[in-house]
Order: sequence, then C-alpha cells, then structure tokens
Amino acid sequence: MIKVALIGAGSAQFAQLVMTDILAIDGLDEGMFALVDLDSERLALSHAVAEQLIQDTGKCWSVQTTIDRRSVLPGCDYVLNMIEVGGLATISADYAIPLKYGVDQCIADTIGPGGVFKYLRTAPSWLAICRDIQELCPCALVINYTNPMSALTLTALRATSLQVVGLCISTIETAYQLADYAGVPFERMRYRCAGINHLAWFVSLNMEGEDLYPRIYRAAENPEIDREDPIRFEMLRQFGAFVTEAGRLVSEYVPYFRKRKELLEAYVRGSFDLAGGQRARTWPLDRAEHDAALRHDLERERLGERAFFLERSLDHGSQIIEGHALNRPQMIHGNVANLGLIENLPHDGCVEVPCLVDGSGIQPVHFGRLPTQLAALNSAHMMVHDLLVQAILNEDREAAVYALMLDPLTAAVCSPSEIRQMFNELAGKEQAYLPRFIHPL
Amino acid sequence: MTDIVSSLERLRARFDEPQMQAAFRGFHKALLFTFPDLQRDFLLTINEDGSAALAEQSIAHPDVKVTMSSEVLAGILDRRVHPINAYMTRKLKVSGNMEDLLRLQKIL
Repeated sequence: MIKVALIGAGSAQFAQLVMTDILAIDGLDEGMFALVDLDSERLALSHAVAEQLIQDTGKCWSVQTTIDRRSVLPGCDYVLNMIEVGGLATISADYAIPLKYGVDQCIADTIGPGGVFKYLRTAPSWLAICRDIQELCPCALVINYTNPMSALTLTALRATSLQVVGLCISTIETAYQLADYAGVPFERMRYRCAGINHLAWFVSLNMEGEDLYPRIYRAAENPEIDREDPIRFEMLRQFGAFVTEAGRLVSEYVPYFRKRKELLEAYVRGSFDLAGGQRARTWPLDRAEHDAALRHDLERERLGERAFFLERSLDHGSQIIEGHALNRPQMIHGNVANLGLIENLPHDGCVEVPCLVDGSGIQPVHFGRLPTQLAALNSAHMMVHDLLVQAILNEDREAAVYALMLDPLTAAVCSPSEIRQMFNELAGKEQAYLPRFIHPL
Repeated sequence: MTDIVSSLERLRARFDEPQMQAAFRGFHKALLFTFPDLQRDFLLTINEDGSAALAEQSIAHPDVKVTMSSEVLAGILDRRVHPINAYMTRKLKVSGNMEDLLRLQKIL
C-alpha cells in the first residue's frame, strides 16, 4: 500500500485531478491520501471529493486530512506540492503595480514581477515543507506543481537531498497541438524537446523519417491557425523552433511582445486577451465559480448521478507514481537538476528534459546542446532563478532585486532604477506575505 | 452513431435549471457547435434571461465556436471523456473570447 500526501490539497480542483489520475492507475488498488491544507473549509471540500472518487472507482483507498503536515508525512512514499501563499490577496498588486511602470503581464505567476514576488512569498513555506519531508520521510519522491515551478524546484534541489521533480503539462499538450497542425496522428509523431519550464523547445519533430516542420510552417500560413497561436508561430519563424507554453504565457517570457501597445495589439489581443491585468480581475471569480461547480457536482454524485469525470489526464504525476510504485517504465518531461543534461545551459540550474521513471526512480535523459539562440533565451531566466534561490537561501534582499532587474520583459520596459522602485513598492504592498528581509528598507 | 440532437438537447436543458440560468443571466451569446463527422452545425443561443434555445443552423460569426466529433460530445455528457483532456488532445477545439470561454466551461 502506498501513501500519497497532497500539500495544499485545498486547491480542490487540482487535487481532484491528481487523485482521479492516481485512482485510475491500473493495479494500484490500495493506498492512502493524506490531504494537508491550512484552509480547513477548502480542505473539507477536497476530503469530500476524495471520498466520492474512491467510492466511484471502488478502490481500497483511504483519506486522512489535517492542517498539520508533520503528523502525516511519516511513511509517505510520494509528496505532491500544490500550495499557494497569499494568492488572491496579492494578485491585484502583482498586476497593478508593474502595470503602472509599463510592465503588462499575462499570467504573472512564473516570471516577471508577479512571478518574482510569488516566489518570494512561496519559497519560505516550500522550504519549510521540504525540510520536514527531509526529516520525516526522506525517501519520498517529491513532485512540485506550484509556480514559479522552476525556481521553487531549484530551491528544493539546492537546499535538500530529496528526489524532487517539477511538473507541467505544457510539453505534452503542445506535442498534441503540433501533431494537429502537421495533420498527423499524435501516436506516430516523434519529437525531441528540452529547455526550461514553459520555454522548452521542440528541436526536432518527425514521423517515420519525415521532418514535420515544413508542415508546421505551412500550417502557420493559414491565417485562422496563425491567429490561434501568433506568438509561438512568430517565435518559430524568427528562432527556428516551436516553444512549449501557450502563446499568451510565452509572451511574458521573452522581451519582444508585451513592451509596447502596438505589439500587444498585434500579438496578444485577438488571441487570448490577457493584457491589462485581466486575469487579476477574473481569477477570484473563476475560483469561486469552480468551487461552486465542484460542490454542485459533489451534490449530484451523492444523489447517484455521475458528475465526476474519471478519465485520466495528461498530467505526468500519476505516470511517475505508476512507473515508480509498480516498476512500469514511463517517459515523462520533468524539471530536474541540469548536471550537464543540457550541455550549454548552467549545470547547477533546473531544466525540463525527458526522464525515464521506473522502480529505481526518476532518471533524466542526457539531451546535448540546444541551438545557441534558444539556450540564450533559457539562460536569461535560469540566472533569474539562481538569484531568487540565492535571495531566499542567503536572506539576500539585493539578490531578489537583481532577479527582477534581469527579468527579460521587465528589463525591456524599465530602467534599473525604475525596477528597484517597483520592487520596493511591491515589497511594501505585499509585506504581510513576504519574509522580513524583503520588507522595504 | 450518436443521436446528436438528443445530446445537444441534454446540454440545452441545463439552462432550464434555475442555478444555470442565474449564472448566465445577461450573457447573451451565440455558440456554434460544429460536428465534422456529421457535417452538421447547431446554434445554441443563450438568451438575456439565461435560458437557451437550440437550432440546427450555422452562422458566420458566432461568439464562440466549438468543434468536435459527435462521439466526443456524447462521451463528455456521459462523463467518460473529460472535456479538458479532449481540448488538450485537440479532439475538442474552441475559439472565441477568453472570458466567454472560461465562463462557458461550466456547461460541459
């Protein structure tokens, strides 16, 4: 029997997805979910969902819930992190203050000013969680989902000896998209993809010896298809490879598309209109609606109606558990310590590469060199991650300021002194959620 | 072959529920459902009061366009196919304004 802890399980919708996937693993019929969250109301919702899912699948799993993670970590085989620190309370400042300085973010939770401050809010809690895992279940395999995923995963890799992997669905989702653009069955397509999370590159794409990239270029000539993904097609035309994250998000990873109004109009609006801090306005409403919908589905399930989807998702988390617990080899794309896997990226950083998972654990695959222009775009972010981790591990405020100064989009829009001013303003506004050493001087 | 009209009628009937009507009140939009396997198009019109009407017809500029096979729709309604999975594997395609799309997630 395995024991799986979900830290931050009050993220009810995501916890539901992960538990559905785990319960869908053929042959993994017994186990225990340990659900942990500080928000007891949302934790209760996840608990009810878990009980219902177990009933729906007929598996012999049990559920524990607690606000005290240390009480459930002993004996855990897998620890899944999905925490959020100060999310709804800070999202408005994360968007509004940078916007005042001309930095118009999209999702603002992995990079840019929003990502930097989300990291600074989250990393101390994450570090404390990792240290508890190290003490109480050091052999557990740790899966991190929380953004900024690369920087948080790197923090754990630097500060502990745990086996940690960061996961994101973007590579597999983009692979399906590329197969569709190329007009080939996904199952027959082969690809090599690596980089960093949200900015990994499909350096080759083929089917039975045929290079599929000419088909992708042809697809991009269709205005309807180009409109669906204008930034990624532009990156392909200019840099020579398709990138993993959806266009609207990748637009804030590079310095080109969100720095002037006319560029935003050309590349961002018209696809997914997430400029001007739109997400800050819609996210709290979306969350409330998702929770309400989940409660409604739960009610229907209790009345005997099938409301939950039991189909396994594309997320790699359950694949890792299946590969490891049942020794069934799986290939995933995971975020791990580089250690030379991508030769021309910093060896002490966190990269996204193919990994074999089996009973021996997660075994990343050596990738080689990325084309230099692509590695350069990745390196810029890896330096930001490095500074952020230094900031937290050494309580070094200045390293955090440097991280923001080097963020590609922020640097494309603001002068260094403006960035420092923006940092101070954000630090003041979000003080309640930040470590003391980040507070305004 | 799946009876597409009854599948879509199940979808439309959700707008008869007071909770759904309240959620969509003021959201007057035209949703075009396209089924390439059947070569048939259906228009679901959400009215100002949150109720909805279904008709077999096509329009050039819907607010939201949803393309999938009739089997995928049946699978979603029977809870065998997760709409997010269908979307990610390109079995379900949507186009339209992001805010509208987010709001419409709940009908599936």
